[in-house]
Amino acid sequence: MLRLLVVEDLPDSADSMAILLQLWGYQSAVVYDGERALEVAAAFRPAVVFLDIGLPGIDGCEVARQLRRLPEMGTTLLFAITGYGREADVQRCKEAGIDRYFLKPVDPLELRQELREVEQALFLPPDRI
Amino acid sequence: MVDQVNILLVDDHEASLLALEVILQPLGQNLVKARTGKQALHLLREHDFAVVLLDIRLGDMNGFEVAQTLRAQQRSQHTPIIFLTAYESEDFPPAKAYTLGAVDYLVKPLVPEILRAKVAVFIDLFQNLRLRQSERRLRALLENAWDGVSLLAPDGTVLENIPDNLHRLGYSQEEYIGHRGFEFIHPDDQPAVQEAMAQLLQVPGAKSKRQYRLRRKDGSWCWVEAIGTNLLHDPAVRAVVVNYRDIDSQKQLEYELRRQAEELAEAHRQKDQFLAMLAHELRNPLAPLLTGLHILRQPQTTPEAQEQTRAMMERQLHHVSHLVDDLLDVSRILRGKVQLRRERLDLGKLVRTEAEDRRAVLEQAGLDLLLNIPTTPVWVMGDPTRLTQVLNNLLDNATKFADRGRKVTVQLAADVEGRQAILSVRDEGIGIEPELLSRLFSPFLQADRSLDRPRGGLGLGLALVKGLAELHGGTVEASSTGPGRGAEFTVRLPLEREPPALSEAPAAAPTPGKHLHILVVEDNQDAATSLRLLLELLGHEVQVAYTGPDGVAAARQWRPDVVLCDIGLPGLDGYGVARELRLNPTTARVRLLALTGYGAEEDHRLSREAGFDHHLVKPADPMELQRLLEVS
Repeated sequence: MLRLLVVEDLPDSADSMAILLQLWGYQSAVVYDGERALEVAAAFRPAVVFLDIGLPGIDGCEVARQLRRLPEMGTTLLFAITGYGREADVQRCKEAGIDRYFLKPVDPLELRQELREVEQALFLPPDRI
Repeated sequence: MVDQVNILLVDDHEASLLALEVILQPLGQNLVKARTGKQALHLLREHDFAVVLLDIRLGDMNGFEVAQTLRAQQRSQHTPIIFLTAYESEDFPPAKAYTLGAVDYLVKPLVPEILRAKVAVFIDLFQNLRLRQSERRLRALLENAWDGVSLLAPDGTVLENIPDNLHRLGYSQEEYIGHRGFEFIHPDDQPAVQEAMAQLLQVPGAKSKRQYRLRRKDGSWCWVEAIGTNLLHDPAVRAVVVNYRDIDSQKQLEYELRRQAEELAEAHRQKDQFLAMLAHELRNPLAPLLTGLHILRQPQTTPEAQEQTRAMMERQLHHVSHLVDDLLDVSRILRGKVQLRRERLDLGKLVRTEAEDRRAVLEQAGLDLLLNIPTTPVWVMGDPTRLTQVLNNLLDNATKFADRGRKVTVQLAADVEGRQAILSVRDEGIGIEPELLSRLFSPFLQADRSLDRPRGGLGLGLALVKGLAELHGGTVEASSTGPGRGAEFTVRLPLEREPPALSEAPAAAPTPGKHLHILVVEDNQDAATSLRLLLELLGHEVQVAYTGPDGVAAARQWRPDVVLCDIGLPGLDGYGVARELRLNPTTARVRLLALTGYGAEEDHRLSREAGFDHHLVKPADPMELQRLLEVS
């Protein structure tokens, strides 16, 4: 079962995302700020981290940079999910080591397709209920 | 090269004229001949002559008469006369000739060398006079022209200067001449000017143009444009000639234009940033709404999860509506399009009720709400909806910036002497930087993005508070003793003196459970269907029409109690539908409710004029809709 970490400071966004991921059959965890994301990620070893960029304290790009330095995060994919859609914002995410960039609101079906591709890439059978 | 001068030869004998011509030819001047006195006087009126050689005996008049007349003529007043005569005569004594202004009296036969030498003296005199005149004229030109001229030695020492230039800068000749010109140039401009001068000195006749600042005597700087010309090789000049033009006002204008351009660019940058932030803020609630829809769609979602999701979606939808309302409100307030519905009201009661309503939200955020409101009424003339908005925005602000576990204090006082109601909201949060206080109320200006953004909102709340307070004839100010020390926002509104004459009438109790026939006219199928479902749930009978003409037809046929009508409709718009229904006796008395996305004052007026009883702005609050239907 794919482990996914949701990092998002708006509780409604974070919680609903985690619920939907669970309904799809994934194991998901939620944190509401960057510091907590760094603590949890090392232990939880998620396959994908969904990362909001406008976070209080350490912002999403900085979180991405620090996650990339963790040895446990070698194969982890970082997906930015953000409301900032300017060219400069995308560029900043790329430089921070983010693999995919999604503009809010993301179509959940598109996200699900992405996750299936991740699963196939990891040679895991897709998890269905 | 000095121009030729005119010499007038006057004699009635052709041979004599010819002889004079031969003698004077080598002088290389312009020899003009006259054979009569009259002709000579005419020429002297028309032209300038360096000297007149005048024979005493002429055909028409004698030389003395000619001399007298030419002296009386303005032009020839000072023209030198050399009298020529064949012999000394008693009729024409030399002494008399000199009194008439002759400079010489020569008796023929003439010695050519002597005559030439004498005439040459007068040519020289005349040429010098002409030079002096032209020099005076040039100087007058330079002195009266604005621009200044300096002559500089190769090392930059000022040799000569047209004074007027110096008067403008405030120096006397002594303070300038003999000094190095570079001393007066702005230190920042000196290297460029020195370099230009060095290049100029290398090529005779070269020109160089530069703009730089010259120090005035009072220490201020004057922008000039200078053109230097290397005339060191010209033996008559032997200097670098520098022409100045004052371009100070031009530079001021340039500076002003540049400043305006920068301001515009800054405004553009702010707008850009605001739009990016607006997109971010609108996308934020859309994300969980979309996620929520998918959760509800999953068959395995538990009833608890469904309920939780619905509540979340309601919150987020409310949040989006709130953002859109704020945005439109700010735009309307900035354009002065908001009209207050003012009434005499007890601000104490309003603040107490609204603040208590918000207590739960604040407590959820870990904040303790303290109220300090007098029990006696605080009367103001105000729009209750707008004053509630002021209080709510201030409380929102406090909630965003206060730290958990701290207090938020709402205080109201009536300053009877100052005739002011003073409402303040104080938090114990992160406080405000002093330089930010003044900018806090301007819309679209986010103070510190990194700090403000994660706390959410468009940053329009305070701009709205200011606009609304001012519409009420009041003021708002922010104070903070600094970062980390909390902040206090104080709104002052004019206090009403007398208490109201009448006590409030009790509100009419709604009659529940009314069963109505309702026609929904709405072209958006989803909106029409959801409205139909809601109204049916409330126990009413509902029909739907999707165009204006269908709506009018259905109303005539079915005769509903209420028509809920969209404004933007195909075929016939909502205003048209209302007019049609009001005109037809069968539908004239129907209750007409407009339901539209247009919420401006102007739209309310238009729908009233078209015959609507009420104007509801989308998304309509179901509670409000129910209340309106119950009084139908």
